[in-house]
Amino acid sequence: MTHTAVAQSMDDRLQREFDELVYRHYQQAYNLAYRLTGNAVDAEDLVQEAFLRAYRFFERYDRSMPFMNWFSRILTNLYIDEYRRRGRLRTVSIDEVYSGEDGEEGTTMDLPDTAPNPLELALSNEYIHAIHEGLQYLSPEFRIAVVLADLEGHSYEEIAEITKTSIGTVRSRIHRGRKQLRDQIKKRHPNLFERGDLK
Amino acid sequence: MNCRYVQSRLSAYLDFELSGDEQQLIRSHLEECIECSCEFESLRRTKQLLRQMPIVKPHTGPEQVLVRVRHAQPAAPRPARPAWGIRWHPPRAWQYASGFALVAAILFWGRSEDTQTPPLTTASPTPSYFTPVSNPLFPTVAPELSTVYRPYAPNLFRRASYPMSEPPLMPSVSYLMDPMLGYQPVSEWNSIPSQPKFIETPR
Repeated sequence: MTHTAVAQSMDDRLQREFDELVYRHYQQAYNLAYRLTGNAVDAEDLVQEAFLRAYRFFERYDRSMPFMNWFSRILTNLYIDEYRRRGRLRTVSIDEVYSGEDGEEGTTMDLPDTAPNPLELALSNEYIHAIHEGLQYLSPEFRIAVVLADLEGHSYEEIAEITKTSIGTVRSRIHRGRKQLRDQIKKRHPNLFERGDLK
Repeated sequence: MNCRYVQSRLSAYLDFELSGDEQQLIRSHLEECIECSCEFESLRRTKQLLRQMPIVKPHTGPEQVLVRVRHAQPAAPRPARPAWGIRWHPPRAWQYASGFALVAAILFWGRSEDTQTPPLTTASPTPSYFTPVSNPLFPTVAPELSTVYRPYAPNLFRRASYPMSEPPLMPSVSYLMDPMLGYQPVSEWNSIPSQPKFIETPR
């Protein structure tokens, strides 16, 4: 077996491993990107870019770390870069009727369908949109911390590892992010807090 | 444990991210304080709402990603990092110049035209008024005893000397002088009262 042949088979093995990881984590990655960017178009771009970058640097992936932690770091870094590049993320209203670039008019936002899960029946679509839009009000750092903790279910230590910050920073970001989010949701749907809130 | 402290940690408490003791302390505080427990309830509700958010399904599958990946080239291997994360490079011109200046400063500090030193053959110790230069970087030990040739330069750090028979006009440390006692030997400093004594007299 020549040197190039060994390298080739090595590449094949890495390639197969990477493909498998993409298949396994695509859904979760998309979900994370969607909650960060707030819309399906940007989420798809972000996920593709992140997987592309992950592939390019796949040799540096430390196998002792869960793939999704490593990948989340890439994705959140890309997201923050993109956010800063744009200056301010454009906010897209879900109900807004917008005109397409090629002159087609009157189309509404193409929302991804949500999984019909009996547990989620408690939350009506209206509330889901309120929470989703509330998330978009947070600054990117807070949003990343809250999404990773509450939607992805990471521990503070993992989030500190993903965002390369200290646990104290993670703790304060999650706390402040949740408080801001709560105020945003409360503004629109105070009834969501009625049962627990005595004030 | 005050409310402000508790409220700053409510999220961490909610996520079981505090130490056991702290968790216990906050729990007992929440049982007593209605304001903090309201705040806690609303945060708990927020977390609950977030956890109930549905998983969104993408329109496109992972195949598109893989198609793009097939055309991409892996990144070049990471360049070797030298020790301590420092990138060494050959010295720049200004670095050569400053290094040369530093060496020169050390070697020629305080040297000047020699006009006043006695000739080298002198075996007697250097008189004190020819105080040798003390280079701050290489301080001279017992310069008076040294017979090694040293060029003359005024020593700016020299202690002012005076004849020991008469005291200086102003003592350097004023509180050691008692107008009644005059100067005291060092051995008796402890016995000098720092405060004037008042004698109690009957009215």
